[in-house]
Order: sequence, then C-alpha cells, then structure tokens
Amino acid sequence: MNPRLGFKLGWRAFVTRSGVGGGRFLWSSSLALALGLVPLVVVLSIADGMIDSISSRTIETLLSHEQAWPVTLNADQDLQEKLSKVAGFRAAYREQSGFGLAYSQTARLGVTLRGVEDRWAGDPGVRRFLSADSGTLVFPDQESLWVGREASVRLGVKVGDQLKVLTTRTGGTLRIPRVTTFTVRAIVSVGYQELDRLWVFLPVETSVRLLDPLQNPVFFGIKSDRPLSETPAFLKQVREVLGRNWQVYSWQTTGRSQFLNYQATRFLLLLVMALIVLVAGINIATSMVTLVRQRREETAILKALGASVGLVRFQFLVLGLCAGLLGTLAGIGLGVLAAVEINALAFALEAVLNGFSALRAWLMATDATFVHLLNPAYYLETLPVKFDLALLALVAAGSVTLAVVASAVPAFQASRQRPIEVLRRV
Amino acid sequence: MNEPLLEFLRVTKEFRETAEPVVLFRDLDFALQSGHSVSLMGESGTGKSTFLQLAAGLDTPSSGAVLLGGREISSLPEKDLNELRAQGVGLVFQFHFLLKEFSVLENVLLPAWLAGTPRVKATKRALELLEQVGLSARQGHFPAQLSGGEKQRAALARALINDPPLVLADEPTGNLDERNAALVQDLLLRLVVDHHKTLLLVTHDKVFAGRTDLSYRLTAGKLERS
Amino acid sequence: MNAALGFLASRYLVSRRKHRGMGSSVSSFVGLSAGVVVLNSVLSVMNGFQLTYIESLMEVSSSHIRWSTAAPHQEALRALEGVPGVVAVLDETESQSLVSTEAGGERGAVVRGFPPGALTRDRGLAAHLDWESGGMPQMGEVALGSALAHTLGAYLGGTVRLTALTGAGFSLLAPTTLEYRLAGTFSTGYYDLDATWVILPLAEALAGLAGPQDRLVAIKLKHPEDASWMRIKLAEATGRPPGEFRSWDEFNSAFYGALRTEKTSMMVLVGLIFLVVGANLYFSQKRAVLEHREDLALLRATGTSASRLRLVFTLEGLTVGTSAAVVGTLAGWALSLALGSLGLFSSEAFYIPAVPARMVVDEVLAIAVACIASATVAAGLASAQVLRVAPGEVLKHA
Repeated sequence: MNPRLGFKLGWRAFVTRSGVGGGRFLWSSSLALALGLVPLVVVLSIADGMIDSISSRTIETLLSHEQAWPVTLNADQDLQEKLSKVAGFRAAYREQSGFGLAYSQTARLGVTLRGVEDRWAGDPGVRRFLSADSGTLVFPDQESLWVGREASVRLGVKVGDQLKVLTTRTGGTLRIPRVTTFTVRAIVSVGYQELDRLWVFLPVETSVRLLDPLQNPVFFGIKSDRPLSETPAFLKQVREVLGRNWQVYSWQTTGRSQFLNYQATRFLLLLVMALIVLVAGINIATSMVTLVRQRREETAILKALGASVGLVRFQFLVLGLCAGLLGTLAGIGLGVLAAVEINALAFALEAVLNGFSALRAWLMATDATFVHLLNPAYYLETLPVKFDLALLALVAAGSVTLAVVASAVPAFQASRQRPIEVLRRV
Repeated sequence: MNEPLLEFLRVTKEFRETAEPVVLFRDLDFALQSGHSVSLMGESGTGKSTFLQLAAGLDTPSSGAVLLGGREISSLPEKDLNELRAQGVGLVFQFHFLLKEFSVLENVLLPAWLAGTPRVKATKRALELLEQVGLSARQGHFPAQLSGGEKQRAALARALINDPPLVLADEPTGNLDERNAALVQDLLLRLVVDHHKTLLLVTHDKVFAGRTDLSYRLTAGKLERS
Repeated sequence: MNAALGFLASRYLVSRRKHRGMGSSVSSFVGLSAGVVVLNSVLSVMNGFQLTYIESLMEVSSSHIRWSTAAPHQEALRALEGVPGVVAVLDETESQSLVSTEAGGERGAVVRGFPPGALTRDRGLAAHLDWESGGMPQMGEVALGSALAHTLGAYLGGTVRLTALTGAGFSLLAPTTLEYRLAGTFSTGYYDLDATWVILPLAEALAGLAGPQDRLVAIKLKHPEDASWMRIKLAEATGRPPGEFRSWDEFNSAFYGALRTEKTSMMVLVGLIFLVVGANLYFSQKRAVLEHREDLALLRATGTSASRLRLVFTLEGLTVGTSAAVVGTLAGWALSLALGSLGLFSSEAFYIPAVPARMVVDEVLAIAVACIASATVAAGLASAQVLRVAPGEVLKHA
C-alpha cells in the first residue's frame, strides 16, 4: 500500500470540481464542522476569560494569594519581617472579617465588614481591580468607611455621609451590641458586583475593637510577586518560615468551592458545545457515504487497475481528513475571530433579539420583554476573552479525528466494493 | 510444449439473480497461447463481456478454473489478484474510465504507480506511449478537455504502461465514431500485436475481428471457431 | 388532466428518490433530531434550576405582588382579598438584624414576620418551605434557614439572639437584643434564602425589632404571570397609587434578567445545530436535484410544472423536519426524565442535590417549529435548483 499515492488520490478527489463524484461537495460538510466549532471556541474562550477575570479579582481583593491564620491568640505579629526572607514575598496585610448592620438616614443593610490596613489599597494586585467611584482610598481617621457601590445605592449614601454600624461581641455569656458612627470616605467597586455587593471597608484597628476576636480572628493576607502557578512552592516556603503557630492556606484552598463551581459549569458548557460538533461529524459520515456511492466507477477502475483494498480505504480516509482539516481550520479561525469581537457581537445579538421581542409583542399585543445581555449587575461589564492554546489544539485534534473516524465506515464499505458490479453495468 | 497464457478449464458461469438461474456457459474449455491475438464475437447478452471479466479475474466462475500464466486465478485472494492485474493484465473497456481529477499523463501513469514502478522509468515509458498514441501534446490536459476518441487512446496507453503480457479489450471502439474507431483499432493492433503481446478482443465489428489471428463466436454457451 | 399528471409525476419522482438512496435525508434526520434532543434536554435542565430559584423567590421572598405600606388597615386587606384572582393576602414584616447563637456564630440576617395561619392561607409558601426539623415558630420562637442554622451551630430548642438598632430616627438609634427559642429549620432550595432568613410570628416581630417602615403586604395570585396588570386592580381596590404595588419580576429584575440572558444565550448557541443541519440539508437537496436531472427533464418535457416538482423536494424536507421534531421531542422528554432521577452533580460544586428537569410547553413547541422550519426552508430553497434544469439540454446528453 502506497500512502503517498493514497494521499494523492484523496487530495485530488477533495479538490475536484463539483458534479457527480466530485469531492468538493464535502466542502459543505466542512462548513458544517466549522459552524459547529465556532460556538465551542467562543464559549470556551469566553468562559475561560470570565473565570480568569473573576478569579483574579477574587484572589487579589478577597482571598489574597495566601492567608495566614494564627493558631493561638498571642501568635507573633511581625510576619512582614519574617516573610521578607522568602523569595518573591511582597507584603503581608492584617485583615479581619465580620458582619454588621449598617444604618443610614433612610435604610439599613446587613453588610460584610472588612477591616483592612490603609496600605492594602495600594497593593499592586488590589489596585488593579479596586477603584473608587468617588472619594479616596484612605482612612483619615479610625471612623472611616469605604462602602461598596451596590451597598451605597441601597443605603442611599455618598461620600461624606454618616453610617451607624451595629456589631456585637461576646462578653461572658452575653452578646454585647455596639453602635459606631462612621463617615463614608469612598464608594468602591472591583468591577464585579457579585463579589463586592455587601462590602464595607474599615480600618483594621477599628474592626479589632468592634468584632469578636474568637469568632473573627485577625489574619494576614499575603501577596507575592511570583506567578500563581508557583503557589504550591511559595506556600511551602511560607509554612516553613512561619512555623507551627500559623495555619497557612493558599487561594486554591480558600476559594476551592467557588472555583470548583466554575470548572463544573465550564465543563457542562463544553459538553453541550461538543454535542454540536458531534452532529456535524454525523454530517460528514453521511456525506462520505454518498460520496462513496457517487465514486463507485472511480473505485471500480482503481481496483481493476490493481489498487489494493487498503489503498482504496486509505483514499477515503484521506478525503475525510481533508474535510476535517478544512472545517477545523475554518471553524477555529472563525471562532477565534468571533470571540475577539464578542462584545460587538453581543451588542448586535442583543439588538436583534430585542427587535424580535418588540415585533412579537406588537403582533400579540402584549408587553415586550427585553434582554440586556451584559448586565453589569450580574456579569462583568465587558466579556473578557482568554485563549488556551493547548486546549484549542486539543479541540482541533479532536475535530479532525472525528472527521476521520466518521469516514471510517464509508471508507471500509468502499474498499469492499466489487469492481465487477460497477463495470458490468456499463 | 508451450503453456497457454490464458486457459479456461470446464468453466461454468450462471447468474442466480432471477428465480430461474441464467446459465451463460457450461463446461467451457478455452486456451490462448502467448503471442496470439484472438477475437470473440457473438450476440448481445451471450456473455462475451463476462468471459473477458473472468479472464481478468474480475469475476469468478460458478465452477471450473481460470488459469493465467499457469496459475489458477479463480481462487486467489483479492490482494494477490490486484497484484496480478497490475503487472500481468492490461484492460481496455468500452468506456474509458479515466479519472477526471488527473491529467492524461497521470492517468496513464496510474497503473505504474499502483505497481510501484520507479517514477523516472514509468514517466519515460508513459511519454513514449503517449507519443505512440498521438497524445503527447495533450499530456497536461484533463479528460474533460479531450474528445471521445482521444480519451480512448489515453485508456489504451494506460493499459500498456506496465508492459503486460496479456491485453483484454472489451468493445474498445464501441462508443466511437467511424474515424476514431479506425484509429483506435489500428493503434491497438499495432501496439499489442506488433509487440508480441497476447490479445483477447471482444467486438461486434467483423472487420476488426478479421484482423486478429483467430476468431471465435460465442453462441448459446458454446465457443465456435469462425 | 394537469393535476393527474402532476400527481403521477410526484409519485414517480418520490419512488426514484427512494431508489437512489435517501442517505442524505437520513443524515439530516439524525442531525435534526439530535439537535432537538440536545436543545430540549439542555433547556429542561436549565429550566429545572432556574424555576427552582424563581419559584422559591416568588413564593417565599418577593411574593407575586408586594405592597409596601406602613400601616395596612383591615379594610384595605379585606378589599384586596375580594379582588378576583387574589388567592392570599398576608400582612408581614421584613427587617434586618444580626443573628447569633450560644455556639458563638454570628451573621447578618433578613427577619420575616409571618401572620398566624400563614402556611394554610398561602399554599405556595407552604409548598416551598421544606421543614428539615421542627416547624413554624410560635410566640417566643424563631425558625432559621437550614444553611444559616448550620453556620451558626444552632440546634432545635437552643437560644437564638437577634440584635438590631431601634429608634425613632437616625440620631436616636440604639441597640436592642432579643432572645428566642429555635423552633425549626427550613430549606427553600435556594441558597441565598436558606443562608440569610429568620422567620418569626408577625406579632413577635412588631413587638421587637420591626418598625412601621418594615411592614409589607404579600399578595399571592392565582395566575402569577398576570402580576403586572393585577397591580392596577389592587391599587384601585385600595385607593392607593399603583407605584406602591410591585410585581415579582420587577422586584427581582436584575436576577431574572440574568437568568433569561443565560437561557437565551444557550438557546442561540445550541440552536446553531439547526443552522448546521439546515445547511447540510440544503446542499444535499441541491445535489439530489442534480442527480435526478434526467428524470426531472423528462417530467418537465412531458408537461409537469416546475413548481410541482419543487414541491416534491420541499415536502421531503418537511417530512424529514417533522419526523425529526417528533422523534427528537419524545427522546428529549425521555432524557430529561432520566436526568431528573440521577444525582449527577456533586453537592460540593452545586447547592442542589439532584438535577431538576422541567420541560416548558412553549419552548418545546418553539424548538419543534424551528426544526421543521429549518428543514422545510432549506429544502425549499434548494429546490430552486429544479428551475435550472433545462429539459432540452439534459435530454440531449442523456
């Protein structure tokens, strides 16, 4: 069996003009494959982009790269100095988290109190995402607050307004409430409302007075300059330096359930998209069956001239491979293009969908329901896109393999054809 | 004593596609010596083409044996049959069966590629053959650009590329007009007979048949010298 | 005469189509029905998730229509009950406080006061409060959402403390702490509610931490989808401005909008299957016309109209589309039933322990129609190829 000849035969067949027996009709199957791959690539890159964006936001502004929790109440506090020995260490920030009720003139809201150091807002990672809509990210005094955007809307406060915050601490068997009056110094956002919806920042020196040390221990949020992929190594070093008085966790642990959720959702989405590609694969299979039938004469003469069964089979597999390659390249190319332009596309799609809604409502004399595809209340304001080249390569390989596998049975059928049945007819 | 190149031993061929089996021929014996040219004539439907197809190994007899070069081909596995055809038998059909996605030169080269002949040698021979059939100027053209007669000439060149000892031709001029038919007939006889190849020709044309060494007639399942 | 000829022509052509092999139609059938199955399954699972959230929110939290009023009078409430289509009217409070237990945990919580007999008067509410332990609290008691109870380390019969600020105005706010006994824990299936809700009797709320600004009237309707215009009726019945009455979709508009977006996007993405298969059908029908050009030329030459011939090919598309829609819908239904009984999702990643799958009739029909339409339109467009068969040309070369 001469593979080179097989490639030649298959390739020539693929590029011939249409008409009965022409391989070019497989091009429509390639198109089908490409159309099936486009949503997969788009969804994959957007999902990755969103997950990446949300994750990095969460890691930089909430989880920190690592968290060090004291085992005892009197654990050493000079972490900054100790950890300066570790390569890549940038800073350790004191933090404390708890709950409180915030009261404004007009409303009240349960909020997440985050006691932070002033300088935390200046951390490069935090600064990337945390910005002030109004005011400045400083604590001029101990009774200063930075209020999350959504919380400020619900409470109806702006910079300069006062907020009363109710907290409780354990005192013996009692729960001692305390009211503190704060001044709003800034309205902040991290660009993802799901995350910062109920955040209120206050100086950690104040939170320590207000919150229960046992229920809400002070911990350290650690930031490093090393890439996130080196987290396990860094974690190990930090643990070694801090010793047994500290429990240290990486973001991978602290954010685990959330990231698991994202991965599971992403996986499901991909599964559904893969089904579309599979349908396109079926398309190729049946197109090949038709093509085999149409090329009966060619196959018969090849066999009559001495072509082996293996060669005939190989030729049709090459045909399938060509169709697969064309469809895959086109699909991934178009998919990447669509993903890059997705914000423009989403806008266009939104216009089309809302147009339909309006038309339908007019026809049926009901109210129109409109979609706002990129509602900042639930999503990032623009869709970020991230291309995982390794995964794209895998998708490409899978798609081409699908095309070849889809051609296997027709190829096999073709090779088993008896030339006599065709030649006899003429 | 020369072994016949092609031999039919008590060959029976019947078709069971209909309720009543159709028997084309029964216990037929035939021998073709090397270097001879034989024509086979007969009414439509008598089984001339089938006879040829049995000789080529494209079909198997219902009983009996077909021998090519002393080897029984009727029971050979397909793999070996393919090889045999590639090397040993040149086929010319009524319809040219050229592959439309290959040029004339490539079509002629096809059996050589299948047989694994070295490129340079095969190309040289192909060009020679094209010269002989008068298609040198058309070697780069595709079948769609050729006339019926030209296509059949190309098919003839293709049949001869591997220098097969036996050439089987089934109504090679059946689809052609008078002028082209005459041309192809001349070529066939010149290239085959003049080169001492063995030819088994099926035809309706009495004049054409007359130009072969021997002529047979297949009537009612029996071969008769004519 | 023409009609009879046309009829015979179609029969002839159809039988020739069958003779030549329906490979491409089979592929389209498989592709289309696969698309219908996938779309139906995916949407039914999405619906299952989304409707669980929506219904929990609607029945427990926002109710169908919410009337914010500081002092609901008895006449007003009776007037509301008398409006046709109203099923339940409940006088409630909603406020916020800090919740803590003896175990020491503390959280911010939403505190809801329900009137006596709330569960019998509002069947929707009762249906969505799944009591994991205990039951509806009486005076001196509260019930916690299951996730909240778990976080706080609360146990049945244990003490629960609610702390909030009370006072006549912003400058007069002072903390108040009240203790209650835990009477039960409930689950709505929606994490946000289960992790932040405390329920207690209305009288208890009014006596304790809820002020006049926390009062509301929860109204349940026979047909929740009528909420937007029922608001007007209710406003008229009470003589109050309609702006005081908010329907459930308006109340949670951002959330519902997000859910709708997700579903729409998914429908569009998966609906691409129909585009893909439709394109395939288009090309294969074009090829089919080409393959049959001799038959078609013959029929045209003997007087059969082109539109009659086009109809044969178009009807083939219609048949494929319809059969695919039927098979796909049935298979999709079977699949979503099967999914509903599987515990596919680990609760580590998702809050809901089992996959709820629900098919919505409107959507199922829309999918079927899209399937049939894509096949018929594709075949119809491709059949235009028939017009390019010039009988004279074809028969000359036959």
